[in-house]
Amino acid sequence: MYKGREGQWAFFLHRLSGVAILLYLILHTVSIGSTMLGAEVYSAVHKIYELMPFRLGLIGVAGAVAYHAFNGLRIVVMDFTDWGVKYQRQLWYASLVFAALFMLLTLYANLPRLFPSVFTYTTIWGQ
Amino acid sequence: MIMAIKARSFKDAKAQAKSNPELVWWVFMRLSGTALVLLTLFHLFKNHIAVDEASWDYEQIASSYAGWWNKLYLFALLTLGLLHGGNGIRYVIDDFTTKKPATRFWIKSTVYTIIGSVLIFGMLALIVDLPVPGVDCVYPKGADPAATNRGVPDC
Repeated sequence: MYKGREGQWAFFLHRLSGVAILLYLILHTVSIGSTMLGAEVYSAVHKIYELMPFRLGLIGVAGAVAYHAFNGLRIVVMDFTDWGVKYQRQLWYASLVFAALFMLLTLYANLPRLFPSVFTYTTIWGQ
Repeated sequence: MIMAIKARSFKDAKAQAKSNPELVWWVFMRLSGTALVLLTLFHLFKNHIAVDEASWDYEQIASSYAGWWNKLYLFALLTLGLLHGGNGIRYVIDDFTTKKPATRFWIKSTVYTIIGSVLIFGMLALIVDLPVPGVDCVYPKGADPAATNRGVPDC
């Protein structure tokens, strides 16, 4: 349809992020839902949340969620308005920017958790 | 003055839909998707950006599940998310995997079984009342709650 252009990338990334989010949602439901099986089971499962690769992966998940969310809104706008179709390219760049901002916010919040000796603030509001 | 038809792609979707359920799913994806944008981004902000995700121990989850609004919020996230994701993966399987009907049947059966099981597991986890430490159960005798294994109480 729009081979190789922005629309193709938007579509491909939407599908890719969608599958990634679904996989994480399954993992997340099982890990948080394991509280049902008792505190010990939950804390055994939850230990992986502290591992560096998992913490880094979660920042990626946040980015994928944000991209899927903002590009999803772009799809809805394209489906129901004429200007959405007309400016779909600009809207895609806008959703990329918003997704990147959300991911940067997540990264900023996670820096002290990743490198406690370098970053000393505990919340995104400072302090 | 002629009123422009705004829902021009809904018309397209209607024309393209091979069956009525297919059109219902098309509408569902847009409605649930819009709701999920707000639900998910706020959920992420509240539980991962504002608070360290790894800090969510059993005690915190048990006390947060005690609130009905929180339960309702998570119930909406769980059901809408898995239905939206389940239908989305169906599109992906249809577009990107084998065209052989028998193989596709097995791929879809497996995926739907996993998603269905997770949905039931998640719903049960929200419905079952978790004992809240300090309210419904106690910490091991003489143990400092903060010093125990990630605050695991004797529940």
